[in-house]
Amino acid sequence: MTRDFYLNGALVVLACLGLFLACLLGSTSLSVGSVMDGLLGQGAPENAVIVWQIRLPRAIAALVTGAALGMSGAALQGLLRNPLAEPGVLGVSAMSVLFATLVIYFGLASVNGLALPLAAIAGALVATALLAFAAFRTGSVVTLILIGVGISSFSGAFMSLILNFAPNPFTLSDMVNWTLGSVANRSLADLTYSLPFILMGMALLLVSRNGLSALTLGEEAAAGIGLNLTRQRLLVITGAGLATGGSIALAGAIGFVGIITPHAIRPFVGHDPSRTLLPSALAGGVLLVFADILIRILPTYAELKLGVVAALIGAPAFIWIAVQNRRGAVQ
Amino acid sequence: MTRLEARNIYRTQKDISILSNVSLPLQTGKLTCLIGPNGAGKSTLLRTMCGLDRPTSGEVLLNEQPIQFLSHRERARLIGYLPQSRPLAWPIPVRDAVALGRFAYGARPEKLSPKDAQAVDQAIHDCGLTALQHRATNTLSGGELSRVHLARAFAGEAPVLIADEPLSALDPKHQLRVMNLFRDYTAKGGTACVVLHDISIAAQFACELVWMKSGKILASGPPQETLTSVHMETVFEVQAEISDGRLRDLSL
Repeated sequence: MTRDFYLNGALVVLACLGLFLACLLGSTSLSVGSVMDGLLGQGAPENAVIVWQIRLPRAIAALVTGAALGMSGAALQGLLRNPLAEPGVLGVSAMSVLFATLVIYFGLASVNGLALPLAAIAGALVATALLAFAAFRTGSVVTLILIGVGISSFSGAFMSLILNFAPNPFTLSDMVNWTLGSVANRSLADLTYSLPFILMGMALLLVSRNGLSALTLGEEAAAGIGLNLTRQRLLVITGAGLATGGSIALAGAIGFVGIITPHAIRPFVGHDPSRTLLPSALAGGVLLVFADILIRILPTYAELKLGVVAALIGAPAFIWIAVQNRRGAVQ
Repeated sequence: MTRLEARNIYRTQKDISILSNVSLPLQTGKLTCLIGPNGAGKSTLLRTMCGLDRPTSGEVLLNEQPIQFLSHRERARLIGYLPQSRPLAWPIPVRDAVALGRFAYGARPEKLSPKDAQAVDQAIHDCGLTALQHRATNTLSGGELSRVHLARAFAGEAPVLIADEPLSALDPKHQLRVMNLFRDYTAKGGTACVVLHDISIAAQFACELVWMKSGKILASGPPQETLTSVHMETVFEVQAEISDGRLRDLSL
């Protein structure tokens, strides 16, 4: 209990440090004093603009995206009882990106600010519902991950089709940006569209947390000790769908955060899925805030996209976890 | 006193009859052993009696009330269930796994109320897991794991306990220890219903033997009366020599 408190506390401190550093560093380096002034709305007005309109919204977007993905990953892993489950691997992100891209393709994104978040969430919910349906019929996690691969490929194929038919280069580049995943140029307004969905999703996941511990025993014994399986599945699917969809509306597809953070957190919380949720969210947020700072200060020719970096680091980690999991399987 | 009774249970799945007209009133404060060949419908009957499987027709009554009227947690506080397959998805510590037995009381493994903690300690002690309680479950042997699951079931302190093959993966010494645990449990007023494959052990410990085959109960009663070579032949299709209520020799 106290150990969890220290873990969460340390992660909160890291997150705050990350947000502050994100305001400090960038193309124009601000001093600690001018960041403080900017935050409080004092001193030179341009500092307030840099902090409030450029750097802080971007950093918060990274934090929120990482948190949503970290918690969704942890919850899906608990529900499916497999450390490889994650929105990206299971095709949830791909489906969500596909729906978001459709909205951009038909020009609806500029008509109403809510169109994109709603489409992204609808896509995520469709994919999680498909997976959940399959999960309860097969019970085999391998089948489930293969279905996820199938959903990813199908969404990918559809994406290619849409890119193929892109009406003009601007729409094309807009859509490509979604597939890459980035938090650059996010405003506080973008945040207000996605944040409510993400928070709602995370709240549902937190409500479901005790049931995730019960599922450690397998579905049959979990039902035996008094878990309402239908309610549990519904909560996790809807929660993960809302949180992932919201994060994708905000930042596009950023893979593997949902797999690495719970994996890193688990040993610190006695491998209890319910206690993994909150620290995974915090760690996911911290990870993306620092990754985004790194991207901004790296002197690259074109700015690196956050989703690209996450995939470059995440995919090998995924393979490593899969190999480890094979050896240490407790089934 | 908690009474659990199955009444005229039928269950068909994809046109195959799994249970047909099964009635089983569990004797309160007694140990009932279900025996029968593979595929006799024993596990399905247990799951139905726990309220986890809905029968096609017939009903399960818990204290004269249909079991599906109870909430999941209410039911779990009255009936403990140990399924046959016992996966553990994560390498949680032994104590946390046992503490999941208190789930129906709203307990969380990381902070147990004094009452929950006491039930968990008792179950850990009874199942001889005290020395192992802080070990990760993935470092245990099959027999040790089996006792962890049993302790989890006991920790719920339910007045009825239903266990599907609790002796699988146990060596003779631990088989007897586990059966003694069931005996102590019923001596304290608990009602237990257990599927066993070892007929000698079943005959030694059960108050009531229930002989099942092809989804039907062929006979039930105390071992002294029902352990006969005729039942061994009709239910298990083996020739058995029985004397003094003990199984002496088996042949095909």
